Amino acid sequence: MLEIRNLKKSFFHQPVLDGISFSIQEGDSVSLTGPNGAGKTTLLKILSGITSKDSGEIMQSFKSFLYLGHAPGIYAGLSPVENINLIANLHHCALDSQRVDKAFSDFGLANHKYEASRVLSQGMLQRLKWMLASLMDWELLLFDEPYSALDEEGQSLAGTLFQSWKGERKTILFVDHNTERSQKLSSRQFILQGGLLEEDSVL
Amino acid sequence: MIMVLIKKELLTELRAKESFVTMAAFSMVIIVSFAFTFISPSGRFMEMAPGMFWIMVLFTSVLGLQRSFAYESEFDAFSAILSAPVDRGEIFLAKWISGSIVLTMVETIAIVPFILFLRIEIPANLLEGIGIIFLGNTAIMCLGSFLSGLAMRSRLSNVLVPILLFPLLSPVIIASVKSTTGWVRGLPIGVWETWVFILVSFIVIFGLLGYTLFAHITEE
Repeated sequence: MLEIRNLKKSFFHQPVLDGISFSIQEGDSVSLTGPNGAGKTTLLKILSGITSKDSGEIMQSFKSFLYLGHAPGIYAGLSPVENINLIANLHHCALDSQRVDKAFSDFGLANHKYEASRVLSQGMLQRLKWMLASLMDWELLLFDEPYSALDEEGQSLAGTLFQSWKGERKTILFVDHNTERSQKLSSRQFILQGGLLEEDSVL
Repeated sequence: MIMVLIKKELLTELRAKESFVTMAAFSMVIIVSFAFTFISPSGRFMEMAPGMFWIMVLFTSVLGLQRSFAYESEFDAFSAILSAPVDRGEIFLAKWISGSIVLTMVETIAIVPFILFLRIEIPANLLEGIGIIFLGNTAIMCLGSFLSGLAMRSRLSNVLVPILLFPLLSPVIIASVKSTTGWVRGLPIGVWETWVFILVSFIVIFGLLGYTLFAHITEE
């Protein structure tokens, strides 16, 4: 369970999150939508511990979480496989090398496994994030714009993976600008606007 | 966990070779400049050598420190570290230790032309000299890693690091030069041990400050 109470965050005296409260239960897949600058990324960054909050309470019972931000969030000079192993090590997650190899093939990145991540396209970097999420053990996934830059094949792979997570009743909080898609994928939808969580409709 | 972070730091640096090559090339330029500037009939630079060495180390280390957090900004890679269950003090320690290792590697390359170009006699008690260089490197990289982390999110980080670093490192450079001078002159350690204590105190104080405060300075 994740419970947020009266969360506030301002940047340069401009309130971005103006006292938002919500709770997420285990197994929920929650989409977070809203206009640019509404504070969606800030909210995910606060929940992941990257950004500090000004005030409010965050209570959660998840043992592990994975944050995948809008940017690639990997080291450009390291290869995809080095990045995957590094992040897995940081999360105390032991990865089976055969499973990693299979994931690289499944996500169409087998030929780029040992190249510097710097040379990968935006779409490939996005696939790498999905692959990371598929390999890691997490109880809560915080994913900022998971479908950004993905081609049709990538979106199909991502969709299958997302549905399998839903089937496993994993908890996901993701930001998506595509309302139609986020309604399809999520069990609940939050809309952030003007620093406030305006709607929490059970779909 | 700290070993994972140190490995990442060294791998990132040695793969890109940006800091290492720049630092090594810059140190060579300084050595050659000194050799031509201070050329004298006696052809010996022993009296000036400690000062020259630590000036070279100071300027060279700034180049490395400026790149140290640039790897973290590219692709927002730092978010992967910050969102992981990692003690942020350990991130500071990894930066500090890996920075000291890279600086020592650069010095190992630079020391040969330094001795040859400046016609320096290698003093006795090499272990004492190695100890002084170790302490000097450690102190420079301790404060340097802390300040680089502090300046990381600033638009002026490239300017801010040297502006903050040079005055704050004055005690380290003075203590390193004085200790090295005592060593190259062959003076008993009792004569210059105070400077060594200053170096050790600096490392302890700023090491603890960095470890404790790094979580706060890396927060957005």
